[in-house]
Amino acid sequence: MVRSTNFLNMFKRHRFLWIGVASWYGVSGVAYLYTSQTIDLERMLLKPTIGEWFGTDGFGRSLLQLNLAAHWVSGLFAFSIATLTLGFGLILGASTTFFKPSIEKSFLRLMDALQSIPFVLIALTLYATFGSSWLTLTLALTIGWIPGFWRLTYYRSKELRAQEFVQAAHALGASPPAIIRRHYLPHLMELAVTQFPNQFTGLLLAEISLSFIGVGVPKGANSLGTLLHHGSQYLIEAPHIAVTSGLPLTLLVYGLMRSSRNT
Amino acid sequence: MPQSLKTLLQFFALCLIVFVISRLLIRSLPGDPIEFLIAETGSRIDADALRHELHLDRPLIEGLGADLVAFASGDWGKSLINRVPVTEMIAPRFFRSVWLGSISIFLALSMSLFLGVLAGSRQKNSPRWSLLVDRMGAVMAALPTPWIGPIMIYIFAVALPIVPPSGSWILPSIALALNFSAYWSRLIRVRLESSISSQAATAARARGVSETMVTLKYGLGPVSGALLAYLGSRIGSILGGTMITEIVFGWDGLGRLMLESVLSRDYPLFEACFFVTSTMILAGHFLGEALQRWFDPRIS
Repeated sequence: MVRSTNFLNMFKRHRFLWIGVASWYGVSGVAYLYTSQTIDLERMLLKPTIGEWFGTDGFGRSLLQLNLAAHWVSGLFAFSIATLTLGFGLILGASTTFFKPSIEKSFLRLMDALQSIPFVLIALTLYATFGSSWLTLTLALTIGWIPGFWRLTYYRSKELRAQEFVQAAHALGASPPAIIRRHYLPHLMELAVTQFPNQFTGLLLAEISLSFIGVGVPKGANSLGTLLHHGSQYLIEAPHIAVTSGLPLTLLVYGLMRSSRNT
Repeated sequence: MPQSLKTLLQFFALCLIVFVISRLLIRSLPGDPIEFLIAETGSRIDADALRHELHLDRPLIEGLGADLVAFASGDWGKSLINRVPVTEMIAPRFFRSVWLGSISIFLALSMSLFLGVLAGSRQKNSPRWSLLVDRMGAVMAALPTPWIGPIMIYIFAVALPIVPPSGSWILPSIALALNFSAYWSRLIRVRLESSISSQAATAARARGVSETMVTLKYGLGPVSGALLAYLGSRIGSILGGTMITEIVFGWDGLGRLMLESVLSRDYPLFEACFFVTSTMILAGHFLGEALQRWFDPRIS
């Protein structure tokens, strides 16, 4: 049975935040489906007004709609990769405690090495080899983010392995997968859920940075990074594009970071 | 074998692995790498001449060996775009990146130590400073460089023209320093709170040593080794942050050169940049471990 104490606390303490985040992404999803990409040069670079809260961009498109749609693209991607990295990190971290000591040590060194490589370098290398695609971006961020969570689950699994109930299960002949499923998973799931906001915000900011410099999302996909890049190109004529592109993002990331630290 | 010699051998072995990985990149390209390169870069170099130049006309091991010999003799290849030796392109940009990184680390350390000591010591206003450090850290960590960078450029280079909009180290170093100090100040605060509660610090207070001296000697002293080791282990993320910042602020450093080489498919240049960056990361890692061992002989 999965212990629910910590993540229920996390939701209860910051329920308005989580309701706000869910609502924001709900509206973003709808905006993504109905955002108009029609170019209207007569309305280009309009400042924020009552009718257009965020103003318009260099092609006359509503910045509010673009912002919401970009949040959906970036948020969905970050959510998927966070789930992937936490899942892989969890299974890998738990399994590592059952490796032979020599293999365990080598694996530790490999993860140390991977963790010290900046994700930007990994992304550039994969982009240089395989070109721009969702798969390249997924690989780059997964390779960059798994080692961090792997380390947490590895050390937690080692603590659990020293517990008497795990030793008893091992003595009774339980296989490593059975021990991981019955005894490790409930504790590690709690760790995964409390780490989720950190992973999500980290991945969101990483994808934005990579898309901003041009090695992130494939061409044609409008993410927050491409929107920020668009804002930087019109910085002098229309600074409102740069400002409005990042303000909701910053508030969202700040809120999520505060909620995960206060758990 | 002495530990230092063992560490040096490990470092060189890892550099060799990085070198091999960098040379395998071009060989991982789909289809015929040379045809791919000529098509992507629009280069007018003869395919056979280019194949010979990049040692792709030999078997893998022989080609890697030839690459290593050329590399060791200072021939790191030529750019496919402008046919200039890559060493001439990398060297000035490398030093510009090192300059930017060093200034940023100096500013970040100064800021972090100042805030961390104020927040972690037992002075009268420490709780307020602690709250400020906490809040500031959270805000700084939430501000993406691609967003705050252009805004800083607009405020300080356009609205109030204090600094030039690009090519200056002032804005990127401040942006980097704020980003680094977000976490470092909290780290110093937490470590300081722990070390000034130690028995040695308590005994010093009982002997009449001032709180300032206790904070500096018994608080910061034990923290220094861990902080330096942490800096060394974080050299990778420092370099990563520097890369993004260089591109946002238009600083002609190694990170910007690396991105330009990737976008223009200039593989010899990219491979060399990859090797230099990875070697810096390894060097930082080993230096951090060595510094930690030097500060704290208990660590083996």
